[in-house]
Amino acid sequence: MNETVTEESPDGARTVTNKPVGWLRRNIRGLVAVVVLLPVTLGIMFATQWISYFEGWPSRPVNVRAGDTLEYGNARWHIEGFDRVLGDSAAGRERDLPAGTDLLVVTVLVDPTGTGPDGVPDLCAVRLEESGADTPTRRWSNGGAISLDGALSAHTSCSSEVSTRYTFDAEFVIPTDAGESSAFSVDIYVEDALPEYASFALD
Amino acid sequence: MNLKTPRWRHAANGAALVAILSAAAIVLHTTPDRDLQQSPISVPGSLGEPATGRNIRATVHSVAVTEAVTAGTGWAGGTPGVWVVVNLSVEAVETDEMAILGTALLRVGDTHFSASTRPGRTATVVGGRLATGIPLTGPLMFEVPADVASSTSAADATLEFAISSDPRVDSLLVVPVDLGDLPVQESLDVDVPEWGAR
Repeated sequence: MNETVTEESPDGARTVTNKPVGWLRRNIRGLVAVVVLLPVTLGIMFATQWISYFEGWPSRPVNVRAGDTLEYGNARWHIEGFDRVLGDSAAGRERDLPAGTDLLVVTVLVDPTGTGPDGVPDLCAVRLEESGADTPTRRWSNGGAISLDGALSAHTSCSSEVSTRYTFDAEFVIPTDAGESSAFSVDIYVEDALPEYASFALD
Repeated sequence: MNLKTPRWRHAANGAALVAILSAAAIVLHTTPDRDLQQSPISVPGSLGEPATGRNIRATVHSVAVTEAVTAGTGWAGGTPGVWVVVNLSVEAVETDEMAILGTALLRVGDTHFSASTRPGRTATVVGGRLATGIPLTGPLMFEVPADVASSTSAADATLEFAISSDPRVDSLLVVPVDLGDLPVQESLDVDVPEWGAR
Protein backbone atom coordinates (compact mmCIF):
# COMPACT_ATOMS: atom_id res chain seq x y z
CA MET A 1 0.00 0.00 0.00
CA ASN A 2 1.34 3.43 -0.92
CA GLU A 3 0.67 6.90 0.39
CA THR A 4 0.62 10.05 -1.73
CA VAL A 5 2.71 12.80 -0.12
CA THR A 6 2.77 16.40 -1.36
CA GLU A 7 5.83 18.43 -0.36
CA GLU A 8 6.28 22.14 -0.96
CA SER A 9 9.76 23.56 -1.45
CA PRO A 10 10.76 27.07 -0.19
CA ASP A 11 10.37 28.49 -3.71
CA GLY A 12 6.77 27.33 -3.82
CA ALA A 13 7.24 24.37 -6.11
CA ARG A 14 5.16 21.35 -5.21
CA THR A 15 6.43 17.81 -5.48
CA VAL A 16 4.07 14.87 -5.29
CA THR A 17 5.62 11.51 -4.31
CA ASN A 18 4.22 8.08 -3.72
CA LYS A 19 5.70 6.65 -0.44
CA PRO A 20 5.06 3.13 0.90
CA VAL A 21 2.96 3.09 4.10
CA GLY A 22 4.53 1.38 7.14
CA TRP A 23 3.16 -1.93 8.57
CA LEU A 24 2.12 -0.28 11.80
CA ARG A 25 0.06 2.41 10.10
CA ARG A 26 -1.55 -0.08 7.78
CA ASN A 27 -2.67 -2.28 10.67
CA ILE A 28 -3.33 0.34 13.30
CA ARG A 29 -7.11 -0.19 13.39
CA GLY A 30 -6.80 -3.93 13.85
CA LEU A 31 -4.15 -3.49 16.53
CA VAL A 32 -6.27 -1.00 18.44
CA ALA A 33 -9.22 -3.39 18.21
CA VAL A 34 -7.09 -6.24 19.61
CA VAL A 35 -5.67 -4.07 22.40
CA VAL A 36 -9.18 -2.98 23.43
CA LEU A 37 -11.21 -6.12 22.80
CA LEU A 38 -8.81 -8.70 24.28
CA PRO A 39 -8.79 -7.30 27.83
CA VAL A 40 -12.51 -6.54 27.65
CA THR A 41 -13.29 -10.13 26.61
CA LEU A 42 -11.04 -11.58 29.32
CA GLY A 43 -12.52 -9.21 31.89
CA ILE A 44 -16.08 -10.22 31.02
CA MET A 45 -15.17 -13.92 31.18
CA PHE A 46 -13.46 -13.59 34.58
CA ALA A 47 -16.21 -11.34 35.97
CA THR A 48 -18.95 -13.75 34.89
CA GLN A 49 -17.22 -16.71 36.52
CA TRP A 50 -16.21 -14.96 39.73
CA ILE A 51 -19.48 -13.09 40.25
CA SER A 52 -21.52 -16.30 39.95
CA TYR A 53 -19.02 -17.99 42.31
CA PHE A 54 -19.34 -15.33 44.99
CA GLU A 55 -23.14 -15.09 44.61
CA GLY A 56 -23.53 -18.72 45.64
CA TRP A 57 -22.18 -18.54 49.17
CA PRO A 58 -22.15 -16.05 52.06
CA SER A 59 -19.41 -13.75 50.86
CA ARG A 60 -20.73 -10.25 51.62
CA PRO A 61 -21.04 -9.56 55.35
CA VAL A 62 -23.44 -7.00 56.81
CA ASN A 63 -21.68 -6.14 60.05
CA VAL A 64 -23.90 -5.56 63.07
CA ARG A 65 -22.66 -4.15 66.36
CA ALA A 66 -23.39 -6.03 69.57
CA GLY A 67 -26.92 -5.25 70.76
CA ASP A 68 -28.18 -3.94 67.42
CA THR A 69 -31.05 -5.40 65.40
CA LEU A 70 -30.83 -6.14 61.69
CA GLU A 71 -33.60 -6.64 59.15
CA TYR A 72 -32.36 -9.37 56.87
CA GLY A 73 -34.26 -11.82 54.67
CA ASN A 74 -37.82 -12.11 55.91
CA ALA A 75 -37.12 -11.27 59.56
CA ARG A 76 -35.50 -8.97 62.10
CA TRP A 77 -32.55 -10.52 63.93
CA HIS A 78 -31.04 -9.70 67.29
CA ILE A 79 -28.52 -11.42 69.54
CA GLU A 80 -30.16 -11.59 72.97
CA GLY A 81 -27.10 -12.92 74.71
CA PHE A 82 -24.49 -15.62 74.88
CA ASP A 83 -23.03 -17.88 77.53
CA ARG A 84 -19.76 -19.79 77.64
CA VAL A 85 -20.09 -23.11 79.45
CA LEU A 86 -16.65 -24.27 80.59
CA GLY A 87 -15.88 -27.90 79.93
CA ASP A 88 -14.69 -28.58 83.47
CA SER A 89 -17.69 -26.90 85.11
CA ALA A 90 -20.70 -28.79 86.48
CA ALA A 91 -22.80 -27.60 83.53
CA GLY A 92 -20.06 -28.67 81.12
CA ARG A 93 -19.88 -32.14 82.67
CA GLU A 94 -23.66 -32.36 82.51
CA ARG A 95 -23.51 -31.80 78.75
CA ASP A 96 -20.61 -34.29 78.51
CA LEU A 97 -18.26 -31.87 76.78
CA PRO A 98 -15.09 -33.50 75.38
CA ALA A 99 -11.78 -32.84 77.12
CA GLY A 100 -10.27 -29.50 76.20
CA THR A 101 -13.51 -27.95 74.96
CA ASP A 102 -16.07 -25.35 76.04
CA LEU A 103 -19.61 -24.75 74.85
CA LEU A 104 -20.70 -21.36 73.54
CA VAL A 105 -24.47 -20.89 73.55
CA VAL A 106 -25.78 -17.89 71.59
CA THR A 107 -29.41 -16.89 71.98
CA VAL A 108 -30.83 -15.36 68.79
CA LEU A 109 -34.13 -13.47 68.68
CA VAL A 110 -35.99 -13.83 65.38
CA ASP A 111 -38.95 -11.63 64.55
CA PRO A 112 -40.50 -12.67 61.24
CA THR A 113 -43.66 -10.59 61.73
CA GLY A 114 -44.39 -7.82 59.27
CA THR A 115 -41.43 -8.43 57.03
CA GLY A 116 -41.15 -9.97 53.63
CA PRO A 117 -43.77 -10.22 50.93
CA ASP A 118 -45.72 -13.05 52.50
CA GLY A 119 -44.31 -13.32 56.01
CA VAL A 120 -42.88 -16.77 55.30
CA PRO A 121 -40.27 -17.50 57.97
CA ASP A 122 -36.75 -18.18 56.78
CA LEU A 123 -34.66 -21.25 57.36
CA CYS A 124 -31.14 -20.16 58.19
CA ALA A 125 -27.64 -21.38 58.84
CA VAL A 126 -25.67 -20.09 61.80
CA ARG A 127 -21.96 -20.24 62.32
CA LEU A 128 -19.48 -18.88 64.84
CA GLU A 129 -16.42 -17.09 63.53
CA GLU A 130 -13.23 -16.41 65.46
CA SER A 131 -10.93 -13.82 63.99
CA GLY A 132 -7.94 -11.97 65.30
CA ALA A 133 -5.05 -9.97 63.98
CA ASP A 134 -2.48 -12.67 64.71
CA THR A 135 -4.60 -15.79 64.46
CA PRO A 136 -6.11 -17.47 61.43
CA THR A 137 -9.89 -17.26 61.10
CA ARG A 138 -11.72 -20.33 62.40
CA ARG A 139 -15.39 -21.24 62.01
CA TRP A 140 -17.80 -23.60 63.74
CA SER A 141 -21.26 -24.45 62.46
CA ASN A 142 -24.28 -24.56 64.73
CA GLY A 143 -24.55 -28.03 66.22
CA GLY A 144 -21.35 -29.12 64.53
CA ALA A 145 -19.98 -32.64 64.50
CA ILE A 146 -20.07 -33.30 68.25
CA SER A 147 -23.30 -34.54 69.81
CA LEU A 148 -23.89 -33.42 73.39
CA ASP A 149 -26.11 -34.69 76.14
CA GLY A 150 -29.20 -32.68 77.08
CA ALA A 151 -30.74 -29.71 75.31
CA LEU A 152 -31.07 -26.12 76.41
CA SER A 153 -33.80 -24.81 74.15
CA ALA A 154 -36.91 -25.85 72.25
CA HIS A 155 -35.37 -24.31 69.15
CA THR A 156 -31.75 -24.83 68.19
CA SER A 157 -31.98 -23.09 64.82
CA CYS A 158 -34.41 -21.15 62.64
CA SER A 159 -37.87 -22.54 62.13
CA SER A 160 -39.85 -22.30 58.92
CA GLU A 161 -43.05 -22.97 60.83
CA VAL A 162 -42.98 -20.29 63.53
CA SER A 163 -44.24 -16.97 62.18
CA THR A 164 -44.22 -15.11 65.50
CA ARG A 165 -41.28 -13.78 67.54
CA TYR A 166 -39.16 -16.59 68.92
CA THR A 167 -35.68 -17.32 70.13
CA PHE A 168 -33.33 -20.17 69.45
CA ASP A 169 -30.09 -21.25 71.06
CA ALA A 170 -27.23 -21.87 68.66
CA GLU A 171 -24.60 -24.13 70.21
CA PHE A 172 -20.93 -24.29 69.33
CA VAL A 173 -18.40 -26.69 70.85
CA ILE A 174 -15.08 -24.86 70.72
CA PRO A 175 -11.53 -25.54 71.96
CA THR A 176 -10.74 -23.93 75.30
CA ASP A 177 -8.18 -21.65 73.64
CA ALA A 178 -10.76 -20.19 71.23
CA GLY A 179 -11.40 -16.49 71.83
CA GLU A 180 -8.28 -16.02 74.00
CA SER A 181 -6.65 -13.50 71.68
CA SER A 182 -9.40 -13.06 69.11
CA ALA A 183 -12.97 -11.86 68.76
CA PHE A 184 -16.12 -13.87 68.12
CA SER A 185 -18.89 -13.02 65.72
CA VAL A 186 -22.04 -14.94 64.82
CA ASP A 187 -22.87 -15.21 61.14
CA ILE A 188 -26.46 -15.85 60.06
CA TYR A 189 -27.46 -16.39 56.47
CA VAL A 190 -30.59 -17.39 54.60
CA GLU A 191 -30.53 -18.93 51.15
CA ASP A 192 -32.61 -16.29 49.42
CA ALA A 193 -30.52 -13.38 50.71
CA LEU A 194 -27.12 -14.65 49.60
CA PRO A 195 -24.43 -13.52 49.07
CA GLU A 196 -25.19 -11.08 51.92
CA TYR A 197 -25.08 -12.45 55.44
CA ALA A 198 -25.53 -10.92 58.86
CA SER A 199 -22.40 -10.83 61.00
CA PHE A 200 -23.17 -10.00 64.64
CA ALA A 201 -20.27 -9.04 66.87
CA LEU A 202 -20.23 -10.72 70.29
CA ASP A 203 -18.90 -8.60 73.12
CA MET B 1 11.82 4.43 -5.96
CA ASN B 2 12.32 0.81 -5.08
CA LEU B 3 9.18 -0.75 -3.47
CA LYS B 4 10.61 -4.22 -3.25
CA THR B 5 10.84 -5.58 0.33
CA PRO B 6 14.50 -5.93 1.28
CA ARG B 7 15.87 -9.40 1.83
CA TRP B 8 16.83 -8.78 5.43
CA ARG B 9 13.15 -8.16 6.22
CA HIS B 10 12.26 -11.62 4.92
CA ALA B 11 15.06 -13.12 6.99
CA ALA B 12 13.96 -11.18 10.07
CA ASN B 13 10.36 -12.33 9.64
CA GLY B 14 11.52 -15.92 9.28
CA ALA B 15 13.68 -15.66 12.36
CA ALA B 16 10.84 -14.11 14.34
CA LEU B 17 8.51 -16.91 13.25
CA VAL B 18 11.02 -19.59 14.26
CA ALA B 19 11.54 -17.86 17.63
CA ILE B 20 7.78 -17.71 18.30
CA LEU B 21 7.26 -21.36 17.32
CA SER B 22 10.22 -22.40 19.49
CA ALA B 23 8.87 -20.47 22.46
CA ALA B 24 5.42 -22.02 21.91
CA ALA B 25 6.95 -25.51 21.77
CA ILE B 26 8.88 -24.92 25.00
CA VAL B 27 5.75 -23.61 26.76
CA LEU B 28 3.68 -26.52 25.42
CA HIS B 29 6.12 -29.15 26.62
CA THR B 30 6.95 -27.63 30.00
CA THR B 31 3.47 -26.53 31.08
CA PRO B 32 2.05 -28.94 33.69
CA ASP B 33 -0.68 -31.13 32.22
CA ARG B 34 -4.22 -31.17 33.63
CA ASP B 35 -3.44 -34.03 36.04
CA LEU B 36 -0.46 -32.20 37.46
CA GLN B 37 -2.33 -28.88 37.65
CA GLN B 38 -5.09 -30.50 39.67
CA SER B 39 -2.96 -32.87 41.70
CA PRO B 40 -3.18 -32.81 45.50
CA ILE B 41 -0.66 -30.72 47.41
CA SER B 42 1.41 -33.17 49.44
CA VAL B 43 2.17 -32.28 53.03
CA PRO B 44 4.83 -34.61 54.44
CA GLY B 45 4.32 -35.85 57.98
CA SER B 46 5.92 -38.31 60.36
CA LEU B 47 4.75 -40.82 62.90
CA GLY B 48 3.73 -39.19 66.18
CA GLU B 49 3.94 -35.63 64.86
CA PRO B 50 0.98 -33.53 63.68
CA ALA B 51 0.87 -32.72 59.97
CA THR B 52 -1.18 -29.69 58.98
CA GLY B 53 -2.76 -28.91 55.63
CA ARG B 54 -5.26 -26.28 54.49
CA ASN B 55 -8.18 -27.56 56.55
CA ILE B 56 -6.91 -30.78 58.06
CA ARG B 57 -4.51 -31.62 60.85
CA ALA B 58 -3.72 -35.25 61.61
CA THR B 59 -1.39 -37.17 63.88
CA VAL B 60 -0.62 -40.85 63.39
CA HIS B 61 -0.01 -42.14 66.90
CA SER B 62 0.65 -45.79 66.14
CA VAL B 63 0.48 -48.45 63.45
CA ALA B 64 0.03 -52.17 64.00
CA VAL B 65 -0.37 -55.25 61.82
CA THR B 66 -2.71 -57.93 63.10
CA GLU B 67 -4.51 -61.04 61.91
CA ALA B 68 -7.76 -60.13 63.70
CA VAL B 69 -9.17 -56.92 65.10
CA THR B 70 -12.05 -56.15 67.43
CA ALA B 71 -13.53 -52.67 67.33
CA GLY B 72 -14.75 -50.76 70.37
CA THR B 73 -18.29 -51.30 69.14
CA GLY B 74 -17.84 -55.05 69.43
CA TRP B 75 -17.41 -55.66 65.73
CA ALA B 76 -14.84 -58.38 65.04
CA GLY B 77 -13.44 -58.75 61.57
CA GLY B 78 -11.82 -61.76 60.09
CA THR B 79 -9.77 -61.47 56.94
CA PRO B 80 -7.83 -63.85 54.69
CA GLY B 81 -5.08 -61.23 54.74
CA VAL B 82 -4.01 -58.99 57.61
CA TRP B 83 -5.29 -55.77 59.13
CA VAL B 84 -3.14 -52.66 59.26
CA VAL B 85 -4.60 -50.76 62.20
CA VAL B 86 -3.75 -47.08 62.59
CA ASN B 87 -4.50 -44.94 65.62
CA LEU B 88 -5.14 -41.43 64.35
CA SER B 89 -6.13 -38.00 65.65
CA VAL B 90 -7.69 -35.72 63.06
CA GLU B 91 -9.34 -32.29 63.15
CA ALA B 92 -10.40 -29.46 60.87
CA VAL B 93 -8.20 -26.37 60.93
CA GLU B 94 -10.35 -23.56 59.47
CA THR B 95 -13.96 -24.68 59.30
CA ASP B 96 -16.10 -27.71 60.04
CA GLU B 97 -18.41 -27.05 57.08
CA MET B 98 -18.14 -29.97 54.65
CA ALA B 99 -15.20 -31.26 56.70
CA ILE B 100 -14.97 -35.03 56.81
CA LEU B 101 -12.08 -37.43 56.69
CA GLY B 102 -12.92 -38.33 53.10
CA THR B 103 -9.57 -39.75 52.08
CA ALA B 104 -7.76 -42.30 54.23
CA LEU B 105 -5.46 -44.46 52.15
CA LEU B 106 -2.62 -46.87 52.72
CA ARG B 107 -0.30 -46.91 49.74
CA VAL B 108 2.09 -49.84 49.28
CA GLY B 109 4.10 -49.62 46.10
CA ASP B 110 1.68 -48.82 43.27
CA THR B 111 -1.30 -50.22 45.13
CA HIS B 112 -3.49 -48.26 47.46
CA PHE B 113 -5.98 -49.54 50.03
CA SER B 114 -8.89 -47.49 51.34
CA ALA B 115 -9.68 -47.61 55.03
CA SER B 116 -12.26 -50.30 55.59
CA THR B 117 -15.87 -49.35 56.22
CA ARG B 118 -16.70 -52.92 57.26
CA PRO B 119 -16.48 -52.17 60.99
CA GLY B 120 -19.35 -49.65 60.65
CA ARG B 121 -19.67 -45.89 60.75
CA THR B 122 -19.10 -45.43 64.48
CA ALA B 123 -16.20 -47.85 64.88
CA THR B 124 -13.54 -45.91 62.99
CA VAL B 125 -12.79 -42.30 62.09
CA VAL B 126 -13.08 -42.77 58.33
CA GLY B 127 -15.83 -40.67 56.75
CA GLY B 128 -16.59 -39.03 60.08
CA ARG B 129 -17.36 -35.33 60.42
CA LEU B 130 -14.53 -33.26 61.83
CA ALA B 131 -14.60 -30.37 64.29
CA THR B 132 -12.51 -27.22 64.04
CA GLY B 133 -9.60 -27.39 66.45
CA ILE B 134 -10.99 -30.40 68.34
CA PRO B 135 -9.31 -33.71 67.55
CA LEU B 136 -11.22 -36.91 66.91
CA THR B 137 -9.04 -39.84 67.93
CA GLY B 138 -9.74 -43.38 66.87
CA PRO B 139 -8.74 -46.29 64.69
CA LEU B 140 -8.49 -46.79 60.95
CA MET B 141 -8.41 -50.34 59.63
CA PHE B 142 -6.91 -51.34 56.31
CA GLU B 143 -7.54 -54.84 55.00
CA VAL B 144 -4.39 -55.88 53.14
CA PRO B 145 -3.23 -59.14 51.51
CA ALA B 146 -0.62 -60.79 53.71
CA ASP B 147 1.98 -60.90 50.93
CA VAL B 148 1.60 -57.15 50.34
CA ALA B 149 2.18 -56.38 54.01
CA SER B 150 5.39 -58.41 53.97
CA SER B 151 6.62 -57.29 50.55
CA THR B 152 9.72 -55.18 50.05
CA SER B 153 7.49 -52.20 49.11
CA ALA B 154 5.90 -52.38 52.57
CA ALA B 155 8.99 -50.73 54.03
CA ASP B 156 8.14 -47.58 52.08
CA ALA B 157 4.39 -47.58 52.61
CA THR B 158 2.59 -44.29 53.16
CA LEU B 159 -0.63 -43.25 54.86
CA GLU B 160 -2.52 -40.48 53.06
CA PHE B 161 -5.25 -38.29 54.51
CA ALA B 162 -7.40 -35.51 53.03
CA ILE B 163 -10.49 -33.54 53.95
CA SER B 164 -12.61 -34.83 51.11
CA SER B 165 -12.86 -37.94 48.97
CA ASP B 166 -11.48 -35.90 46.07
CA PRO B 167 -8.28 -34.26 47.32
CA ARG B 168 -7.37 -32.61 44.03
CA VAL B 169 -5.99 -29.07 44.45
CA ASP B 170 -6.11 -29.50 48.21
CA SER B 171 -3.81 -30.71 50.95
CA LEU B 172 -2.91 -34.39 51.13
CA LEU B 173 -1.12 -35.39 54.30
CA VAL B 174 1.44 -38.10 53.57
CA VAL B 175 2.93 -40.04 56.49
CA PRO B 176 5.52 -42.75 55.73
CA VAL B 177 5.28 -46.01 57.69
CA ASP B 178 7.53 -49.05 57.62
CA LEU B 179 5.11 -51.97 57.62
CA GLY B 180 7.92 -54.48 57.08
CA ASP B 181 9.33 -53.55 60.47
CA LEU B 182 6.12 -54.35 62.36
CA PRO B 183 5.42 -57.78 63.92
CA VAL B 184 2.15 -59.43 62.90
CA GLN B 185 0.03 -59.65 66.03
CA GLU B 186 -2.48 -62.42 66.55
CA SER B 187 -5.31 -60.08 67.53
CA LEU B 188 -5.89 -56.47 68.54
CA ASP B 189 -8.66 -54.64 70.41
CA VAL B 190 -9.22 -50.96 69.62
CA ASP B 191 -11.37 -48.25 71.19
CA VAL B 192 -14.24 -46.35 69.63
CA PRO B 193 -13.36 -42.89 68.29
CA GLU B 194 -13.37 -40.19 70.94
CA TRP B 195 -13.54 -36.40 70.77
CA GLY B 196 -11.24 -34.07 72.62
CA ALA B 197 -7.64 -33.60 73.64
CA ARG B 198 -5.76 -36.78 74.51
